[in-house]
Amino acid sequence: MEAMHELNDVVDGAYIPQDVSSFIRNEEDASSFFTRFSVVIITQMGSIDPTVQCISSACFRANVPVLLVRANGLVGFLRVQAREVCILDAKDDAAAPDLRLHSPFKELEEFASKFNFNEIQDTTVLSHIPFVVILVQAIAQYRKQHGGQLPSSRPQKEEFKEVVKSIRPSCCPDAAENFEEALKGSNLRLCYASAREVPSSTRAVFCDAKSNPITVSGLQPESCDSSQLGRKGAFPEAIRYVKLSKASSTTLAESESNLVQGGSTIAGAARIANDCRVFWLHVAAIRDFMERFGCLPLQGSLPDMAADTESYVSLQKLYSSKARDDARIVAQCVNEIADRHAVDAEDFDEESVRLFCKNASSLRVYRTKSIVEEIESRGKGGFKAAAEMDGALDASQNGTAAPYYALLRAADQFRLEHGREAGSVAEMREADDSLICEYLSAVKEDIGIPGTALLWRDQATEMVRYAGSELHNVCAFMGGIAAQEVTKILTRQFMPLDNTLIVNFAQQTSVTFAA
Amino acid sequence: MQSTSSPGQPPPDVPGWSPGGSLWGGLGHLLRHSSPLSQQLSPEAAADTESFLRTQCKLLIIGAGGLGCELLKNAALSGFRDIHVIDLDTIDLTNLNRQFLFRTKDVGEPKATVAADFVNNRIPGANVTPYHANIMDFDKDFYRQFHLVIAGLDSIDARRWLNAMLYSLVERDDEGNPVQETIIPLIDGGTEGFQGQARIIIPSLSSCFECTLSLFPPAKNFPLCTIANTPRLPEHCIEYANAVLWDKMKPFGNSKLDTDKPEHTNWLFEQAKERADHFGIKGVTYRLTQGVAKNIIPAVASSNAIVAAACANEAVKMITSIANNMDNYMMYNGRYGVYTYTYRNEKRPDCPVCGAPALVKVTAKGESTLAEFLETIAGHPELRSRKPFLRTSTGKTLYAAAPAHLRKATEGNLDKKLEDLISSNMELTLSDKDLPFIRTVYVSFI
Ligand SMILES: [Zn+2]
Repeated sequence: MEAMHELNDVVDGAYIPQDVSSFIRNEEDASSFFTRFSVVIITQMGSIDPTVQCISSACFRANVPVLLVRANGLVGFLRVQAREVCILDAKDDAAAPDLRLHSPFKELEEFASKFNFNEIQDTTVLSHIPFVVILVQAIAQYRKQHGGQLPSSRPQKEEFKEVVKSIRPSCCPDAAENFEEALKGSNLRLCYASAREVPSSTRAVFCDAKSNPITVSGLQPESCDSSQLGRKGAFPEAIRYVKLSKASSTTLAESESNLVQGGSTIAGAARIANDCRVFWLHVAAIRDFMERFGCLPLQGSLPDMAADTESYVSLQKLYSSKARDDARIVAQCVNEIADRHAVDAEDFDEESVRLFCKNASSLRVYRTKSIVEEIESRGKGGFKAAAEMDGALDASQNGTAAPYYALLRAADQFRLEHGREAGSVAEMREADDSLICEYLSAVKEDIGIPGTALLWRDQATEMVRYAGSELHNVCAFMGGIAAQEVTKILTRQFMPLDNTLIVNFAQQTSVTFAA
Repeated sequence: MQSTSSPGQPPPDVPGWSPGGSLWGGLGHLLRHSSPLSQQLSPEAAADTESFLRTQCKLLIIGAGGLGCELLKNAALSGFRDIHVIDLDTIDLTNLNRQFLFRTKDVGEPKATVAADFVNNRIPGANVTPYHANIMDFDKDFYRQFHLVIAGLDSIDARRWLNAMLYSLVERDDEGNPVQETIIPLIDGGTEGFQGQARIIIPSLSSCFECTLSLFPPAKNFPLCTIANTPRLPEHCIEYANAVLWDKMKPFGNSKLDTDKPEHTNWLFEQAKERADHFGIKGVTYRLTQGVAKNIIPAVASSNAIVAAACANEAVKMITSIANNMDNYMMYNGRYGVYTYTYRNEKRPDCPVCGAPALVKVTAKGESTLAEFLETIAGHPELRSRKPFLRTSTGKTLYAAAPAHLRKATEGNLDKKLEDLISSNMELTLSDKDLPFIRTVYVSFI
């Protein structure tokens, strides 16, 4: 805590210098203790450890994300567990710009029709007409000839390309940047019939049952025994860190009230539940908008393109004012739904609706299986497929990371039964090695990995060699990844790891899978 | 962890040795135990390795910034002791959120010195020697003294120079084979936002940095005509203030733009804001101004931690043999989930540093000026020469960016037409003060 405070002096924290299993004895304990936090990070404990199972079950029920991170010799492990994280902006690089070329709005059509290419003689002026104008004109021409339809088949797309080319007057040079941009595949695609479809990654959120504008089940409180939340006094007192290493004892309640000062008064699971409700309320409203208008509300941003300042800025204003109009409609939907379901209006305002609309195509729901379910599901997760892809089912391959998922489980089993790490006592190493192999066979059978006893035999000995030792760089690497994923989860930006990462630091290889 | 039953003696001067917890613990344990997947390791060899690490191994870390702070901490906590660090920069307030060896009181001080002091005070046994200098200030004899170099640099040019320098140290025997003792491995790390890479370069044996230059595309510059005539983005306005107005208005006399000086950045910000307002462009902020002027891609602290840990881990493996080194290039991307990919990057046969370089063919208009031709060379993906020394095959110097007296003597050529200086289909020899190799450029007129 002292070192953390040195790194960042606004860090305010408290600690309990005790083994967690000494005061978390069951799921009830875990529920009342951990649901006050926004995220829980568990280090150097195995997923089959009873305390880990208590904590992860309780947190899963209360929708508090958990990260389980460990280092053992040259192996690293990270598991993220979250029942639901509502991602506000997945920052998907591949997303196409939202220019509404497939169904131009009135103002855009009017703006584009003001340009008459054949009347302009000045080639500099010609080559500075934004490509958006060229494409809107081309679309209008094409539709006139095709009964209002957009190009969809290959010959139709070729024909459309010719229409775009025909707009360029002969005096305009071939290499004019704006025409090059108009003819770029990624921009032409914005005009095809397929551009109307919402991409599948985005659609998932709007198809989710929780976003149904009629029922909006995302607004219902989750089944979670609220009498358990914030039960106090049953736990050791947390020591609050005070600068100059003068540690003073305060109750968790006191340090909590300090933590939330100035901001919202709800924290932990309650705060997360509220954030989710706000998310689903907005998603339902946007879905309502989509059902009425056939497209997402306009984002309102314009990528850079060859253009003169005046037409670019006018176009930019056009898009942003249309986006404001769309957001206003969505805001109405939000209000209607909120009224219908008696949601407090404090949770949203025009600004938040505008932001949701701007990021509409980047909204995502992140969900994982619970750790308990993973252990009980007997290989129904993504491990087997990932191990196969990784080449780990081939006994001659020993550079892959996947086998260590099974071996960490075997090593956990060993620790649970023997109270020490396999390989930690020199005289016992050979016996430990045979035992680990037995545990490994059981784990392999449990998770449905076929193959002989020889499969991952050498990795088992390697695991015994590690004996739970901690190498600084392995810990630093895993700590860095965990910090990155926690940041994603708390800021609800970018996509978190789904959901298990194993790193083999002997070969610097890794594998990820949805356990 | 409860046992200290590993054979072999713990390092005598490090207290609290145990397999799991202490500074040497994990490493000491792995050094004393083998498996079918590891090399054969013995307690005697382990003691030798520890003694080598403690008393002989000389490690050079280049850069004491985002990656450098992590690398220094990692190396010292992994048992390296004789560590040298080079960094030219001084500490800026904006560094403090991730360059954790620095505190507010250190702002303005040299990064190398403060970082070295911090590690020496904090980690028992560490002996870090700082150099507040440019890597190019040092000669072959300096670089030759190290067993291993780890680089955490953000500048592509500096990485190219360092790579070529270490390559030039390799000596060859009578049969032309590299002499093992003269090979100094380079572990190179780099990050950009949520992405990064860690790689091992064994000069003359593996691919080198120059082999993969195309993986690092040149920074995208805005064309001057856009900036001057048709600005559309806030960045265009900032770049105008930076590239045009600074030299024209000389707001601080003759002093060059120093983006570390807040008053300089503020001047750029105000000029850019005024221009943006004039054109109705929104979004010019102080922060963006700083980002554009310094050409910064936002640094992500966790990416630095991850890439630096991978680099330091390879360094430890290389010196101790607790495991083989990766072969030889790891790409990392944390933007969407977590993704790493490790593969063998192959040598490029025509690499200008480690291979037999081919002619670089460049076309130009005969009536264009030499200055325009030099711009082409600066932007050429394979050359990227910004301080060129350009000669004809007959030895006539067309232009020399340095030293100053040669520049004076040749800058008269800049406005001359190319066709008046050379003929088409001619070979030119290009060298560059910042790039330690020579290229042959074949020019044809179009
Ligand atoms: Zn090379």
